[in-house]
Amino acid sequence: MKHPLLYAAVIAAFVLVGCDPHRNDHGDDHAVPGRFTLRLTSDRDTVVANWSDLDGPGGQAPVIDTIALRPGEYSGTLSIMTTSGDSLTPTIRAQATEHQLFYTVSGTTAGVVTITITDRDSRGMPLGLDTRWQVGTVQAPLSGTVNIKLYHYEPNKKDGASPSPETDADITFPLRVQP
Amino acid sequence: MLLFAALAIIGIQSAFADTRPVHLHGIVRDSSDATPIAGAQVVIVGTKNSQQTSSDGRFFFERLEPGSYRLGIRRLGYYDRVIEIELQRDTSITVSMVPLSIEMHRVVVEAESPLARGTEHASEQTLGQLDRHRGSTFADLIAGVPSVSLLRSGTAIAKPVIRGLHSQRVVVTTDGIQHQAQEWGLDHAPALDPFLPTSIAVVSGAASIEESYAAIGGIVRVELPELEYHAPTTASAYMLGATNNGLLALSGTLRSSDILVRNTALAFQIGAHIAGDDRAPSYVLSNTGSRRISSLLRIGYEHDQWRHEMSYSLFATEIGILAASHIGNPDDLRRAIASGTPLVVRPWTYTIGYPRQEIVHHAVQLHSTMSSSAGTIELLYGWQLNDRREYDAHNLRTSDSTTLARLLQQPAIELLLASYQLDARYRSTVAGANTTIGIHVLRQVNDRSGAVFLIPDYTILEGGIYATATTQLGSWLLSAGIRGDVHRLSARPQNRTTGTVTDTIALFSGIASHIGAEYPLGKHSRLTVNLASHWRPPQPVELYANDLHHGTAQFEIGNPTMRSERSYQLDVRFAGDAGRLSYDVSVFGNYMPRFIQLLPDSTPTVTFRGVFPTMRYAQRSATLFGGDVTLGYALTAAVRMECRASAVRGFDNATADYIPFLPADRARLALHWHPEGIRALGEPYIEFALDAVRRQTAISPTTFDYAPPPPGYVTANIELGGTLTLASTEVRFSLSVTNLFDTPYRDYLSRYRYFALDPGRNITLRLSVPFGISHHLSDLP
Repeated sequence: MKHPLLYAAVIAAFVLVGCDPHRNDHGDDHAVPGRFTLRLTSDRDTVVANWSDLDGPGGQAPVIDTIALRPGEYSGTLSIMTTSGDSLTPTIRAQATEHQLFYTVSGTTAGVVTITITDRDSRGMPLGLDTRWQVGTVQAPLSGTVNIKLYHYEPNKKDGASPSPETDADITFPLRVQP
Repeated sequence: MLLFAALAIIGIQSAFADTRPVHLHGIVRDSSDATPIAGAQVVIVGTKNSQQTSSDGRFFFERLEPGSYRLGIRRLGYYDRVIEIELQRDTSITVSMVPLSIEMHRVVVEAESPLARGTEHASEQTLGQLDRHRGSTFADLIAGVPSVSLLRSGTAIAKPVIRGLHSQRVVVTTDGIQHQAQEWGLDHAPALDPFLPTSIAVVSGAASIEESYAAIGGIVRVELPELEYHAPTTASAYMLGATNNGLLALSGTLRSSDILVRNTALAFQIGAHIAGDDRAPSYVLSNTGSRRISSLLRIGYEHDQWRHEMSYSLFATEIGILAASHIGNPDDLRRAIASGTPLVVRPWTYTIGYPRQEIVHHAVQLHSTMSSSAGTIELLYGWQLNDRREYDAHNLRTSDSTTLARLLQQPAIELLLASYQLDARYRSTVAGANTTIGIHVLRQVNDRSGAVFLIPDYTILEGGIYATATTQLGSWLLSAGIRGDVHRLSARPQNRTTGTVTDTIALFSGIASHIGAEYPLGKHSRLTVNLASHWRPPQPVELYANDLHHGTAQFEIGNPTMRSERSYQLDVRFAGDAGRLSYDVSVFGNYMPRFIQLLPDSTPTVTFRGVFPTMRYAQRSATLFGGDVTLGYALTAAVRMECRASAVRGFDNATADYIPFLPADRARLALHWHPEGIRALGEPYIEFALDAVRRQTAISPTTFDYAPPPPGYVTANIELGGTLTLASTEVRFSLSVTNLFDTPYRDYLSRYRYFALDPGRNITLRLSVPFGISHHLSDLP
């Protein structure tokens, strides 16, 4: 220790070439819901509308199709894919008692399009991946929106009607009804 | 081992002769708060044998003949004491000294010499004051400093805010090395244990530049347990229990010297803490529990002019995040605010669920000093590893349920920050001035993994040189310092549109400086003026963030073209006492031409989770100003009143809009009673205080916030304490009740204010028990 400069140099070497810890990137699969596909079929139409944001939140804005319907009754199914192309629909079905979808029609289409949930979880509560859409007759084209919310519930908190404090997904499609 | 052998030999000798020499050691404490008193003169009356107490109040007389002695103890500012002592064996004593004027908080704290102290506006928290405030977090220890407020996420996460500034703008040092954690997050608290510090000094504004060029808000200087060379073995225990969240904490410290090898010293501390959910006045704040373990090992060796010390500290904690604050999107937040009570309340528990944080912080420090008549060389090396893991409550990421279960076991985000720092300083006296010159080198590597793109992987290389001087010119005390630093940031931000990662390099450099002057006005007061200019490079989060920030329900976007932030600040302080009155008044102004802040963008960000407000980092010219006032008045010899108030305002210089999220105006009124004549208790005290916080009205309509500032509130607090002598051990205790009337309130700086009330009444019992081990060992036959 007679040479403080030498001592300093040794420590300086530590500073500059210290071994850097590195953890394997876990969870770096940062897949999130990226595509929502709504498939609506009636006896004469099949409508497929996509809500896609494959680069995740931020970056490019989502690409959203318009749902165009005609008077009649449609049966709807919703499927959800992650940004990496993995289907989330089975997960939601498997955890049906902890999830529920809510459909809200707004704008001038509000009184014209009625959406009813047709699937149930194991406790008999609505789930919302399968739906029935009843479209009334109109004189002229109408436009509005349909908002789809997926809520996540704590175990045994789902009552079939109330939203949960935590939203898993919240997307909005433009909606058009033609005569 | 040598110690035990020596004791055994002494024991054998004493069996043969009663005239063997004995040792007397002791500690001198302030009777008002049990703080050790340094620099007290201890004399054996009638001899030339005299000593000054060490920095921790200790003295040690070796090899005295058994017999009766009179000890005289004298210290400026205290009544002299003479005590009679009968020495037949090795003895340790504690001497309490009564201050000439009993002050609740010593407003003007004098270090040994004004030259060593400098002119900075520092508020020192002594051991006695720290012991009264140990509890949940490190930041609680300094909450009593007028310029400090706390930015909280529950009781377990608190960040110090000095004069409205926090995070990267407040530098925290432990034993001279800058604490390096993930300071950028609003819910990232310093990874420091509240049981370790033996003293903390808070520098408000205009700080010296020796530790850092970036202390725009101020510096929090933390001292951990010091080594005591050639001192007897001592141990102490600290225990704490609190009712609100079922907090239980235990900490033990052991110090010794000359074990195995002469001229060595050792200090070891270990502590643990467990707390359950906090309780608001009418409900449980679910998932706000915490656990913590901490440890410090420090060893030192003195040799000729050198002293080498090495320490290792570990801090590991697990903290629950309020369940009701886990939301998916702004609609959830608006519903939570509209509800008025938390939407998730579960039965009270110690269990910590999801979401939660896990933080482990390791620090190794090497400190070598060489003292000679020419000056002192100081070499400080610090290695720190901060491992932060944040776990989500729930997420939808994959179709496979086993994979999902595995993903939930893994942190949603993990940040591993390694820092290597070297500081070399040379302190000497040149023409009557205390001078320091130094160099600083830092290398820091951040390794991010997980699903959030708020902060990229990066490496920082930093180097700087500095010089400071403090001198006495007539009545004036003058300080000055200047430093130049270069900061190179190489980062790997990801482009969110293309998904590509680009290597970027940004270079920042700047000069930081400080000058200060202190002038005594009369015998008992002084006027101090400090001017400083600090700068800080933009942080990686401010440059490259590009993601949803769930904690704030905002989409935050960095700005890679930003330049360094600069501050020019002035602090004027007038402090002293006049008869029964003591006062400490300070005002400050802080002009920052390139103040970095998050500003709302008019286009919201549409995501699968809903529509989020977009916030962008931007630089605007801003000014902060404000002041703190503390007035103390001795109503009688035993009763003292204290009032304190502080206010901060901040403006955007271009628009004259208020800077958002500054602490609201606060005031405190306290009565401190120091009753005399209670035999069973030593130095008893009772303190009653009212803390009042105004509603924050200094907000602009342009400020983006989901809810308006909460109403003002007043809480009442009471504390009593003293010392009890049990089995010849002086046990220090205090019992405090905070929020005595269980007042429901929300603080503007609480990050949970949107979801829930702040915690209600809390009763805390604190016990501090010292042991003098070698004294007892030497009693063995």
